[in-house]
Amino acid sequence: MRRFGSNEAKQAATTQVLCDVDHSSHVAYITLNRPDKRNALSVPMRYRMTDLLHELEDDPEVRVIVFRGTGPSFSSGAEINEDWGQRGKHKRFTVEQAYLYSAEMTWGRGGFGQAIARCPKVTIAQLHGYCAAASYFLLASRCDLLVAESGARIGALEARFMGPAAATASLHLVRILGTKGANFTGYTGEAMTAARANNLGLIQKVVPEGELEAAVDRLARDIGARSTGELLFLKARIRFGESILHANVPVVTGLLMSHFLRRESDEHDFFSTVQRGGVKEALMEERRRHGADE
Amino acid sequence: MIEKNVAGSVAWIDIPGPLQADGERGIRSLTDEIRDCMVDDDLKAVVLVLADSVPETARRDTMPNDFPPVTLRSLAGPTGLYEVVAYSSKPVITQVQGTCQGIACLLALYSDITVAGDDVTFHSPFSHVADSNFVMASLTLRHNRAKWWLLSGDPIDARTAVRFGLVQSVAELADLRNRTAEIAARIGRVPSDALTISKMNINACLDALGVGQDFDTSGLLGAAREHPHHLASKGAT
Amino acid sequence: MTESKSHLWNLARPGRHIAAIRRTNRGDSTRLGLDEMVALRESLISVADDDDVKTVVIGTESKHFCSGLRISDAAALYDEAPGGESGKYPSLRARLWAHDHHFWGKDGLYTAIKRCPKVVILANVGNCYGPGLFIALCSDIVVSGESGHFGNPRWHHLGADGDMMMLINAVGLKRARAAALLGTFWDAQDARRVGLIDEVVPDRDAWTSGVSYAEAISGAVRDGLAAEKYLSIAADEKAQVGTGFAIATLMGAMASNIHFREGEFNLLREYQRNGPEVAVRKAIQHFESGSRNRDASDDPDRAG
Repeated sequence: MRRFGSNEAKQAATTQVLCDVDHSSHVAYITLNRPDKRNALSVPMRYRMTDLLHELEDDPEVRVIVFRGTGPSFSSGAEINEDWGQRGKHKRFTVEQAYLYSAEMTWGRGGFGQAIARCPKVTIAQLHGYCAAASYFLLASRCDLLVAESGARIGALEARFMGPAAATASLHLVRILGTKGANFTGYTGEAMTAARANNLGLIQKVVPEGELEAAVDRLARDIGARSTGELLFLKARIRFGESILHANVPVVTGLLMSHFLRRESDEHDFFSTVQRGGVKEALMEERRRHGADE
Repeated sequence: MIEKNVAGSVAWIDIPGPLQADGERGIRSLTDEIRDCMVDDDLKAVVLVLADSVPETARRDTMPNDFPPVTLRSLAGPTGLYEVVAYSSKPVITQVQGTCQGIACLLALYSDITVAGDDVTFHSPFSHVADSNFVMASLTLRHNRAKWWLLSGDPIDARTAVRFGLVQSVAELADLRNRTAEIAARIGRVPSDALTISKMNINACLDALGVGQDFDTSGLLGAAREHPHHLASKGAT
Repeated sequence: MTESKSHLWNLARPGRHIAAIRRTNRGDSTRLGLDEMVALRESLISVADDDDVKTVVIGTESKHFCSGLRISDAAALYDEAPGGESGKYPSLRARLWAHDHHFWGKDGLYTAIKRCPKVVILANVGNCYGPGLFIALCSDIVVSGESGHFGNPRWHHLGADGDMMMLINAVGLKRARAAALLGTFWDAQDARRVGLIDEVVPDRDAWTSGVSYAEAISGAVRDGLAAEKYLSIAADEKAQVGTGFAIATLMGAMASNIHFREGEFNLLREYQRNGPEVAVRKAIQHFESGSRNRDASDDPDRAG
């Protein structure tokens, strides 16, 4: 099956997404290991997560899967300005390419978010630092249980300058946060504090700084100690309910539209600045224009 | 076992012991009593007073030996206890206290208004009661809280139940019945037809949101529970 | 959109990309009239056509945004409807038309807000009842002054004759049930806690806070915001908002069919016999008597 991404990114993904299994506790850990880029998710990294989930699903000894990140943040979201194989083929980005990216590599039924959502094992997101953009609406919010350090910040931070990602229009976020909560972070791009995210219902448990790893470990082991049959049933119960609630994929795949935004003369063309001077320069330009400080 | 009294336009049904104590006959009796209240022109609301520490099983094959069997149809069928409460044509108020689990917990979840004693703990019914309605739990608590409740095994205490929107009022035990009576009286002052309009609106929304679909299909999952290797199959991938 | 000050709404542009629509609250009552709802809808339509506008802020110049539907308008709701004047009561078709036309249908105010291609922000102060509550629910973002008070008192008297779907999606199922059956109100802090609104600020800062959010959101590109709004409209269908609006139309029409039994407080008869103000005061006395509801007051604006 064809997989997208540069050869370099494909090779790097095996060390950028690590997997460790502790069979004695029935817990597997998928660790994002790209701290120099704040665990930004390349396309190959997302494929690797899907592959790992499939392997873990087939392992009868694994009952719980924990997602965590190395470095100062859980993840900054999808890698910006990645060449996953779309460049140079046509004069401009095609609708077919946009649909491919959004359906297969992000929001769609074949994407890694759905692999997490439909996983028959219990999934836990261990959140510290920033959990931003795609790592918020495609990864963490697809997990069953979210545990965050008190200083964590979560949200669709990229919305203010990168266009829509369907972070407001995804029904699963509405069911998790309520309509207003989903709208607020989607439109403002403001991050939720861990406390606010807990209050709204996204994060179920907030722990003090320094206690995150131990708390998640304890939770994972407690759940892992229960019978496989019971856990499989409870996960099936959730998946059934989510299907009925339409809390799976958006009506129209998010990020589809964001590839075709026209920037007016008074608007900052974020991607052009990225291509010219890199992500950092683009973010600084945003700060200069709008005072965005996150 | 159950005792019904009418105070003004409100019927009070006291259930002093475990809901399955009288087995199938007891469940059907309760269901029939509630249904009769729904068609009683003089009544506006029903209060179900649920006792502490109701045992948590519902399936015939996991029933404690002390209790006679109860069919799933009498609990989860279209004319069963759950749907009579969830889709009631008149407001149903549940009063709970202490350990609230199993069928009692589900009745609290499915009812319109729940008044709880400050000692209440709600124990997830999903592990033990196959036909528990997850869609209702998600819409009530919000999705991730429902998942936590279902997966962690952590009970929800009174204060958390208010925060999560599972109950609308908490009272000290000594004041519990009075609080429930106040709320029942408040509903009793509303015109009957107005209450019917509210219930019609609520029930139509429940159907549109998939509550009925969950009731209709959850029995299949209960059957699949006997064969967990089917549940281990991969989903859409 | 051109700036103007009508006697109903004050239209302004506090920023290049921000349209501001503030109620002037003529007269003493803070209830919203049908004429104001029509004017608001028309303002939103003109805003939608202005390519420079990215966000809309709705608010009030007085201390309450909306204390319910103007009582005389509630009584005259069906006058223009086909079949509205025949017989003692308006026909069912007239009632359906009225609720669809004014509120929930393609020409209704709430649909206009929901389908506005600009991001809509409500900056509320004081009472936010009935139409105010629905405007809050339809808006994308809501910031409120500390005096904010949210609810739909009419539901406790005449049944839930409006949309409940948005409320369920925002605050949860049982809270929505309580709003319908018990006449629950939320103060500003509670409203934020349960997810009905997004932010609470001092009353004096409510309007500027709404404008401030509008400025921040206006930093995003036009195409991006418009795309997100239309994606949300698609998502609303999955969330059954359209179904909720259709249910609301049907329930709204049913409210006039209520048969008040002996001993029940007949609000509609009191309207006809003693006028709206007396009817409302009596309603408060009847429904709050013996109740520990902390919202009981003599404020006629709190009766629905």
